[in-house]
Amino acid sequence: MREVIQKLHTYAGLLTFVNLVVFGLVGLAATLSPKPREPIPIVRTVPYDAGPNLTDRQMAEQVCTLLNLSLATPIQSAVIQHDAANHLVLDFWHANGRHRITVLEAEHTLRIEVMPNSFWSYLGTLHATTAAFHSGDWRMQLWADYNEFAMWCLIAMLISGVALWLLAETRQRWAPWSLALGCGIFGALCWWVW
Amino acid sequence: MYKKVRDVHLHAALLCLPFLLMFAVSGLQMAHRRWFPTQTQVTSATVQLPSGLPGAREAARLLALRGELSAIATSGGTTSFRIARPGTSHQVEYNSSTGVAMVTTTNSGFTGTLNRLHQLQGTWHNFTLLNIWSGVLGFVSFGILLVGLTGLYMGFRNRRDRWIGLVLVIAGSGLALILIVWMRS
Repeated sequence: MREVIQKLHTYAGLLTFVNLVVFGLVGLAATLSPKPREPIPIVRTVPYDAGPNLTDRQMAEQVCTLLNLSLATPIQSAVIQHDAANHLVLDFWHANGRHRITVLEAEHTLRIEVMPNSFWSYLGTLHATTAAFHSGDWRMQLWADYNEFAMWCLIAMLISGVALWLLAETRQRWAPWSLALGCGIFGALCWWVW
Repeated sequence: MYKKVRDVHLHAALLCLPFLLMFAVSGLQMAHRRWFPTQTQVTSATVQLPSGLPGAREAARLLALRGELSAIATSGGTTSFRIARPGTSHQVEYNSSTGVAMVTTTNSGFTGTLNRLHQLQGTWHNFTLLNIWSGVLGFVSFGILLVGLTGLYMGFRNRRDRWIGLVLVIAGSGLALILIVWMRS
């Protein structure tokens, strides 16, 4: 019995090792992160000629393809907006940051504001992306499914790890004290927050 | 060497276990919200404070509500602000001429509290408890890395399953790393 649990525990850990590292790095980065500030966008313009009689959604899809923003697909309704001058504004949020695009039809131009994410922020988005998330980009969907699997593996490793400890032939004398200390700190912090 | 690494793996995992369970449960809750419906309760109360208080900080102190003070705004003699801690948020509208403070409290229950703790960032909050939680979660994150690395070492020290382990690491990590780098580029 113990041998089967040991194998499951080890294989789950080895198979999802990178996800575990991502979870750890994201947690460390979150603790060390500075107070969020409004990002300064990088602005550029590109020529753009919208076809005749396109709906806002069709234009959004065209712009999304033109700028290779597949990670921002499928395009949600909230992406499609209008500014005070009634220009079409497309606000794409994705794992690598944000693209805010104003379609200047009369000037045949797209005004693009790019607010890129830091690498840590990118990893933060990835660590939170699971199977409930439906992406139009097959790479992100594959990651989401794999990350979901990693999440369940982590739960399985927690349970099997405790079982392995309890079923061990020779118990480590100080191990219960580590658990007690962890539970004590957790309990005290929970009591304080409630 | 193996014994020392195994001890580090065991102690780090047991020390972090309650926090890892919290991460696991809240992660599952955020990933599958339908399985864990949040029970948000909203209540309102009116509190009489002295009139003419100079700002939100003074009003917050007199209300004796625990949490981080944020979202301070003043408009036409009314000062609004929020006092929040994981799971509980108080939105306050203080009228400086009458001294009446309307306090709307939103309690998001057990799952909501876990959710907020999971998403806690930084040690720059004006509520010490949040900074302590964030610092502890940083240590737990370091613990996750330590448990992962020591587990990897032990996985490869096991001669019988070394090849299976190698295949699993290459398959899993290879796929994950390719996707991470590819989507970033």
